[in-house]
Amino acid sequence: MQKTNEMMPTKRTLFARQFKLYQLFRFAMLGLKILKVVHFPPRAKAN
Amino acid sequence: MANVVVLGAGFAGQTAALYLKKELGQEHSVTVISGWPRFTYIPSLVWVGVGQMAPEKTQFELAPVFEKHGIDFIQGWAREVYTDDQYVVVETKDGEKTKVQYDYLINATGPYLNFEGTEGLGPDAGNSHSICNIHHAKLARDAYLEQVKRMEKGEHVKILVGTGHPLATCQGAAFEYITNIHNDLVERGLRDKATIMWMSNEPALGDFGMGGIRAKKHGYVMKSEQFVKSLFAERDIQYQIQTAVKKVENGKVYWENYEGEFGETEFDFAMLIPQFKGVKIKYIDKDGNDITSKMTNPAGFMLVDGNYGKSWEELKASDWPKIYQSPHYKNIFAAGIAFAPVGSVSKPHTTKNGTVITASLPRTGMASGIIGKAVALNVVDMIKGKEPSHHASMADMPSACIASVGKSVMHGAAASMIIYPTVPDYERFPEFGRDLKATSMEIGLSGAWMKRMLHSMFIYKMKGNPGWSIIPE
Repeated sequence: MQKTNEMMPTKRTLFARQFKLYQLFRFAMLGLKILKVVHFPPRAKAN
Repeated sequence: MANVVVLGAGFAGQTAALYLKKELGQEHSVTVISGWPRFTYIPSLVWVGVGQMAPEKTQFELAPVFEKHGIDFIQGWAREVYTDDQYVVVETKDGEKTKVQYDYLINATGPYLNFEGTEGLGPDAGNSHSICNIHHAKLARDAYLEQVKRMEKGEHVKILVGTGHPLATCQGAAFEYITNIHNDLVERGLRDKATIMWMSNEPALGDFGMGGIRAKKHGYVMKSEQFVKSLFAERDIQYQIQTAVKKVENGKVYWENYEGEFGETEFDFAMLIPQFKGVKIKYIDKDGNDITSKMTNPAGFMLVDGNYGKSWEELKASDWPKIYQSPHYKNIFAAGIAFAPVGSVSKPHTTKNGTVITASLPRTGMASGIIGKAVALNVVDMIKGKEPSHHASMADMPSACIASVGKSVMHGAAASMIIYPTVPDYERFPEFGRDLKATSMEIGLSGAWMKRMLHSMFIYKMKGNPGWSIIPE
């Protein structure tokens, strides 16, 4: 068994993850992202 | 009048039945055969397994839904399919066998949980638990809550979560379960009383049987391995990957790793996902010959229109099935977990002892729903005298994985991963196989809200309530 301490989140990240107003915005963005990829999946070459 | 029979009433079967009836109307008949009288929303079983959701909130009765939509429902298990005579032999719960005729057949039977594939694995053997069905999730919850009582008395316990077979899949569900256990113990003030361990057959952390995910983040292309490492570091979860569980005893797992080394790990409570196989159905031709080995792959999954038999290195995105039609019988289709994938997405590994360790590709509710819809529309095409025209290749399909890492709508979180395409396509996206503009990973409270919304929305959709078809799969 291994343990890792890589990429521990900063206090700012932890705050952002639970900050309701910001998360409401992320929720809307997440919903839009899901709908976009479901209804308009990329067709051409990307990257 | 055509008679369409759907085997199974999970994501794929239920979606297919609803679309078939919507498109075909009263002119044609749709019959669903399922051994279970209820639909279960499997993604929420991670919450049932830690006692944070009542089991009945994940289920609804199928019969009234089908009655409302004019779909016939037979509660029973499909045992044999007579492919030329076009009928299914169904065994009801009383042990009676009946024949059900079909013109078109959709196999959406889901997985057979192959606990026998690992000695001592599973709740029946009494050594480990599973959250793969509602009954198992309830048993896992009861066993977990017993450990909670021990912790409340001041005892220290070891909790092991992961995969219980070298070829197991659904690492995502196990990942959700382990992080929900962590969260539950934090809420109870007992986290310091438990050592939480992850053991899986993945080649790398965050592989999830999908070959890992890459997404643009803070100006870098970040791997899901770093994402999960960060989550485990934050939650003090120990891990061991590249490991095949070979045997489970009371309080101990025996394993073999990529290097071919053998070892054992002790635990007080273990939830280990078994290997998935195809549900055991016998296929019989007009001469009475058993043609199951022609219709299915060795694991029992139904062969469809994929290019089978290629090695992992040779496989291309275009080899994946598109219309899910049997190459032998044009009126038989498979949807969801029932179809045979052409191979794994994660790189397989064979140890020096000959053990093949591969994280198999998960087929989530979203993929099952999309395939169920495409298959239903292909059957409609054929009934109307056309060729099947609806494609749903996993190499051209998005996945939205909202992995709960805490249920609470006030303090919970979820890791939200949007992936396109599900199976990497290195011809379209040469660098990483996926479109980095469409693929994303993030963690936060918004994911917990999304997960709760999806729970309510999909149960609403699966009930066939007004507007159900507007909700995307």
